[in-house]
Amino acid sequence: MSGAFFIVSVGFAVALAALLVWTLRTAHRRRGPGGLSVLESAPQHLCNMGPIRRSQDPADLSYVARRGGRELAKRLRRERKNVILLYLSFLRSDFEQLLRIARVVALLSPEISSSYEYERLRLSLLFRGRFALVKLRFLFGDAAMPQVTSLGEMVTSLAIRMETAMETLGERAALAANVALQSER
Amino acid sequence: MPSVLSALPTLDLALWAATTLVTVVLLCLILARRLDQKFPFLTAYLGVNLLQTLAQVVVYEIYGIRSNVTYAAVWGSQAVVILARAFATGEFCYALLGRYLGVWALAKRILLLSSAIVLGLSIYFGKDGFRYGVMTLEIASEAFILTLVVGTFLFANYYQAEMQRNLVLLGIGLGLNSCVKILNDAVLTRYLSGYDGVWNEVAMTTFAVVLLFWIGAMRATSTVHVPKPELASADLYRTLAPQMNRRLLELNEQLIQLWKLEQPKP
Repeated sequence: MSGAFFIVSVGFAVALAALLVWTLRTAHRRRGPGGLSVLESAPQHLCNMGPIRRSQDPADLSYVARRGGRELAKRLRRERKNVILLYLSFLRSDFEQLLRIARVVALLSPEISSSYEYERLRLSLLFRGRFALVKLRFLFGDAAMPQVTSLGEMVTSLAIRMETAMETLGERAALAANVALQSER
Repeated sequence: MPSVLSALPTLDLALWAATTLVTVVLLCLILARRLDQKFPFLTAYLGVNLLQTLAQVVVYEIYGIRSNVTYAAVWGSQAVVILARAFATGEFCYALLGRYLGVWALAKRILLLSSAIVLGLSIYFGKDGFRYGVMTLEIASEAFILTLVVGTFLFANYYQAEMQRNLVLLGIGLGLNSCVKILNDAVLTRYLSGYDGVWNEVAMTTFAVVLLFWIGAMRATSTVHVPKPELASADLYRTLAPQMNRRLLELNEQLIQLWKLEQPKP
């Protein structure tokens, strides 16, 4: 047996064993209400954007800098950045929640399309990657962020995909909801 | 006691006896709980495994350990055993994902394709003459099974499908068995002279542990009949679709606003 094949064989076995452990740990951690109950916990943070926007008004910052001094303005800037970062992480969890809903719908559907599934997987991976970039840029205070636009485009694309998939499913779907939920209990 | 068994080292003999005994216990448990109807391929695999053990004793006794006939018979029977385990693995995959019709239809295609690719690549790159031919084949077959098992768990995890405890234990047993066999065979073929004494003991110890997982799996298997999934109204989808789309669009809107917020100031 060549050295390369030996290394690849051992690496393959170890990698798949690690993947198996990771999968089972993730599944174990997620235990709890599952199945269609996920549909009841819809995203909750989308409505908070108004106050968040108002809290970021640049006029406030210049006012504080004028009246309270540079130190106070610096502190305010830092705290505002924290607010935005927190909000970003909540948006992310909302997005994850929507994906979870989409997965449950696919799981309980008697027919799914591989292209839709692949597309959703691809979009979600892209979303996560770009989201991390956006977060980094916020973190380091770079104002020009074209990534956010593409992030938004991705979400729209996902919505369109979901709509088409749901239309198709809606005609033929038969949910295994009762049994799935019963057995999960 | 047949002379071939009495010639074995004490540890090997003890492990051989233990794995045979535990296999019989597991088979009895399956038959007593009538789980053979639920897991026919697993039952068949355990039966084939026991038959192989008996056949090996007979062949060793008649032809001796070093004969060519023994070599061919033992590895030939091993092929049958691996094939039976591959079917048992398919049964596990179906048990975990089979009731989710749409996901199963997609998963079985992807799993079979990726496992076949792994099998093909292992055989192609592992070919190294006749000496290690059987080892390469075994590594390839085990890689095929391991890919099926891990892939099934990945699918179940991604779609958040329910993973019943008995199926998790069954899958861990199948995965562990294949994983250790790949490592064991790879190390043997690479370091033959120093490892040949340990190889058999590692294989038997692992198999004993795997059997214990499977006993746990069979004990955790419910014998209560689970009704087939009830079909729900398609209205659920029709109501759900616009809700989800609206929320996704809202999310999109929020992100765009976030971007506007950080536009460079004039």
